[in-house]
Amino acid sequence: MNKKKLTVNRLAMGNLKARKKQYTLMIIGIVLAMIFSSGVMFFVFSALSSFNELDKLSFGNQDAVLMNAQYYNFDRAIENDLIDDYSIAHAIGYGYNEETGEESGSLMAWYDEDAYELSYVGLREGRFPEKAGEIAFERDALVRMKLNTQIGEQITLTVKTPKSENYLSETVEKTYTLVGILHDKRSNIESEFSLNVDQFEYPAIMLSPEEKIEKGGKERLVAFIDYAGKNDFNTQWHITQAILSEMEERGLVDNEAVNGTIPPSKIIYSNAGKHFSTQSIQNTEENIRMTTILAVVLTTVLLLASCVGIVNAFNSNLQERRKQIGMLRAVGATKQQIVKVFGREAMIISLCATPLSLLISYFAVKFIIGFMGEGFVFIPEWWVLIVCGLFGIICVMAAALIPLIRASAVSPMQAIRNIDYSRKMKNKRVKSQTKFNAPNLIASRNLMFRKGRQIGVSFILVATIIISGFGFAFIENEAERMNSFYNDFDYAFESSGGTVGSNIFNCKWGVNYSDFSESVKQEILSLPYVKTVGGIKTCMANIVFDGEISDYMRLISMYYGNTYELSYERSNINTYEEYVNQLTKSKNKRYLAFSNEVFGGKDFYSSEIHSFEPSDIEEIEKYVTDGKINIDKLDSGEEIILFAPQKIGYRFEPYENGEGFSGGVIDISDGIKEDDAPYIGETAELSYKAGDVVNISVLSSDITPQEMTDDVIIPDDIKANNKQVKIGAIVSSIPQNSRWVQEMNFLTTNSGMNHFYENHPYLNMYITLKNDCTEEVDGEMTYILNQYTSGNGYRIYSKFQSNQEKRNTIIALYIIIISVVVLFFSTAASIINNSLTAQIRESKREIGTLRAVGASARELTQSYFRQLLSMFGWGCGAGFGLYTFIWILMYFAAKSTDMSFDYKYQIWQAALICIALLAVCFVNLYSKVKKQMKYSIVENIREL
Amino acid sequence: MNIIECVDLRKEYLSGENIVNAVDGITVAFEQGEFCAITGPSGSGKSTLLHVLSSLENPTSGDVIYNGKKLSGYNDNQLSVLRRRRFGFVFQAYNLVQELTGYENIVLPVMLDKKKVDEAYINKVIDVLGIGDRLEHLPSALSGGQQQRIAIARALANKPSILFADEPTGNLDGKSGREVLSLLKYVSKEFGITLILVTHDLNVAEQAERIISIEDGKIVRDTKAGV
Repeated sequence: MNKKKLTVNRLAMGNLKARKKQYTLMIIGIVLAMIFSSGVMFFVFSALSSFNELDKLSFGNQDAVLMNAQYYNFDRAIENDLIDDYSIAHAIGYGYNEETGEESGSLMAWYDEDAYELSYVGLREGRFPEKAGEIAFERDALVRMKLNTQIGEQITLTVKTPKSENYLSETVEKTYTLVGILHDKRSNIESEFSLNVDQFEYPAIMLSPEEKIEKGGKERLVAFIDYAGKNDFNTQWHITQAILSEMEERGLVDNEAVNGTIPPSKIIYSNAGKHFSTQSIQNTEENIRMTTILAVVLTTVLLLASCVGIVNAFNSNLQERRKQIGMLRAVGATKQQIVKVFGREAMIISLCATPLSLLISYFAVKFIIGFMGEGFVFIPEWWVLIVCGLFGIICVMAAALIPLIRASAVSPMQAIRNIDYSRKMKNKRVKSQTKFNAPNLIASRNLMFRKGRQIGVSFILVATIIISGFGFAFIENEAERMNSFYNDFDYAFESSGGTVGSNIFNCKWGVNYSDFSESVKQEILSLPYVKTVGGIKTCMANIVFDGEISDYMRLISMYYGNTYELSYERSNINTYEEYVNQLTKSKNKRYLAFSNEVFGGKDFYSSEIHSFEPSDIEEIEKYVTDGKINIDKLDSGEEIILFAPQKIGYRFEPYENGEGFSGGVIDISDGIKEDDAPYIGETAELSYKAGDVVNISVLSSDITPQEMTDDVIIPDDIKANNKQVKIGAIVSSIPQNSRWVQEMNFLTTNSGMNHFYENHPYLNMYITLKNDCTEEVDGEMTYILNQYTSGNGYRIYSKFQSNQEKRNTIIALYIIIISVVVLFFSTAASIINNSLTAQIRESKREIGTLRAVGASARELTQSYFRQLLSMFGWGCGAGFGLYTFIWILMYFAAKSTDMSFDYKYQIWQAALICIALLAVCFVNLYSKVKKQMKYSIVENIREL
Repeated sequence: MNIIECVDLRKEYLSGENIVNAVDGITVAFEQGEFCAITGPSGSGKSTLLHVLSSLENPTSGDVIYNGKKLSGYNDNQLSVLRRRRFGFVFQAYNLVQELTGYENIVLPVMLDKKKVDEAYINKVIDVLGIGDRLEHLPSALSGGQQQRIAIARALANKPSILFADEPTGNLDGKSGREVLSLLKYVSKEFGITLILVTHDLNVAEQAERIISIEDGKIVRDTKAGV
């Protein structure tokens, strides 16, 4: 005889063992529900952390970087509650490669111990310098100096020694061993904030703390600052201002010390006077707020859905559990004993299911993030898993309590019998049908008596359909938006040169700005992978008018030109006539000066000439509205293409509050749109025809953009290249393409450009490869192209990388939405299956009875299938109806508020899901009915 | 003339590791219009014999012959048709479909057969059974006796040739039991139906024209009334 003591654990384990199959299925159900919810949440939060981590690696963990920090009193700033913490990098040199010149170099600094953390300096490979003679470089710093040194190899640099904000006049040659490659920060900060090297010296080279400064030098300090409190962008902005004011008080504002106050939280102040506007800060805050709201909503929905899933999985054998409880009570078990048995059982189940599901979620998310490439780093957010785990345990325990509470409310015998259903039936009144289809009638009565189940299923189906409808529409919209800027080139990169300083004449290039000469183009063309290199040049060009200017030109000038003096008070203007009268009252000072002194008193319009490769120009042949493109004549400078709308209108719309207006020139070549019609003040037709001759004057000066201040009206050395040129063709518009510019401009070939501005450098270059790009080729190409753009703060566009990023983003979106839909799908399927399975189990006797009175297997299946169809019918009807209603509501709401609404009415995925769901449920139902049919009728009928 | 018979009928069950011969080589025949009671102690195999005879269960071996045709040659659909047209069942636990009203339960076999209800006949059955006022109720609102009457009416709805009753009075009190029994007797005579009734109650068995006693799956006595 077994003399082992009967404990609660043994009873619970006995229960579990006796119903191994049932409990395994239940655990699988719970695990699935938890995997999806914890997986999606884990993924979302890990991805957010990943973005955050990449942001920190790119810009640092500090709130601000302060250059020349030796002038700043940090203790006072802490006392004034401006900063919480700071840490210092000690710049003891400025190193550069003699061959690439001084501009390619960088500050070299050793870091205080806590500066590593605050600046978030990260290693791509190798290690940090530990002893004198060791050095680590940001990868970009190596590229700029065109050094191909590997870790462990030696580097010789020319080093200037700082003496606070200046340098000692003598340089020294120093040799170091490269021990580490760091994540790029300097180039990221430069490009993000559009800074140039001379404006902001971030130490891109790291030395060991043992390194000593040259004799006579004085360290220049770079401080990484943590602002007081964890504050929003606005507060940070105000702290930046306060720090600057404090420095101003101490007379440091004009000093270089102010140069680089760079809060990486995207508020920027520098000598260049560039900063993000308040609007931009608000937008960023709004984005963060929206993302947080979205994450919270998503989390809540997922937790609720998984909660329903868990409760449902647990309740699949609810009736049987009630019977068990009733029997235990009948043999004298107290409520406490029953709570213990079932509570322990639930605990054992949740202890099996929770770690398993969390483990699967963890590895699934790790795999997915790994698969998504370099843009994502796997940073596990443990608290998400812990929250999901706790939630799962609570759900299981709560689900276990439900039958207990219900069974406790009735007598043991009532609990053994399905008293709930009988009670419910007792109060029902139905009218007898004299003629009926038995399977259908039984099905409809079942549905009538089990309305709660119907509502539950409908609710989950409605949620699945709506989430799927909007989710997939959102993804499709995103994918379309991302792919709408299709480029036919593999790489593009641009120089920082251009027609800066004035929009009437061209400034001197090449001072602090890089540009791409013909030789750069040929160098790139000689690379083994490269098939073609196309370039674009842009220069300012003025059209000089003989006599009166046309209405068309006047309208264009009113908006684009720099002809008129903007002397009106915007809020006093209420009508278009008032606006025209006020605006055109006087011409501006610079315009009049150029008109009188350069163009002999004639009117002019400042436009641009853009030049392209001949093959690119041929591409626009199909958009020519007048004349014909003749490449030879463009090359020879005899002809030019005019790119201007055929008909324009000035759109003037007064604000409703009577304070001002919005206005601008719009293209109405294809007619005036209904929305614009009430606001069109004036229209004009293009007066030029193909064959007309225009006077073009290209002005240039050696003045640099830095020297171009408000005091300079006409530079002393202004040179004019005046040409009379025939308009060969007119192009009214070109469908959106990143390469073309739309306005009143001229187009020609690169050779043709030489006739207007000789040896003008390229502004942009477009590269196509001989073969499809691979990861290796892309790495090599990016490395090579970086050498041409490094230092000017521009990034290289790589179609390969861009496509990868697009693909990754789309994959991430698909994973999220599919996971959410699958979660709802599984929950819906499990609710339907469980309820029908439970019903079949409960109706075992009824099945036997029906078989005994002559119902065949087909008729029985038909009855259950009818119930299934009805559940789907209601749920899907309500789901698609509600989705359509919301979609229409959103469509009209967007239309009435002039907001864009790009979401397509997308139901095929939802329909497909419903069909799949129906199929799954049908197969399950069929197998369950078939299983019952395998038993003999007597086995069906027999009481427990 | 024999309406139903069985030849060397066996039905074995697995009980744990042991094989139980619930019906052990029984050969017996029933005549048209006969009222026969099968009796015996608990576990003797009387209900199993009824279940196998009525095609609710398949025999392990042997044959059931209805109207000269072996039921072993019937497939599931044919057996379903046979049950709904030729056999009527009355169970101890009534076994009414909970979602259907009294009337709907009664006409269920006719509806499954997609036939028109013979109103006059059904009304007569309802009258005989005295359930005219319970037709609009769901089974859960009826007493045991009333439910059993509905079950008898359902068994008679398709004018069956044989009425199988498995302990039809087992769940009823004495008075209701007696009433149900006399109704069964009456309707079998009234409509010319063979009534095969299983009971362990000798008082009930004595009402039959023929009593078959079973022990350990074998017929130990087969007596006709007055013999």
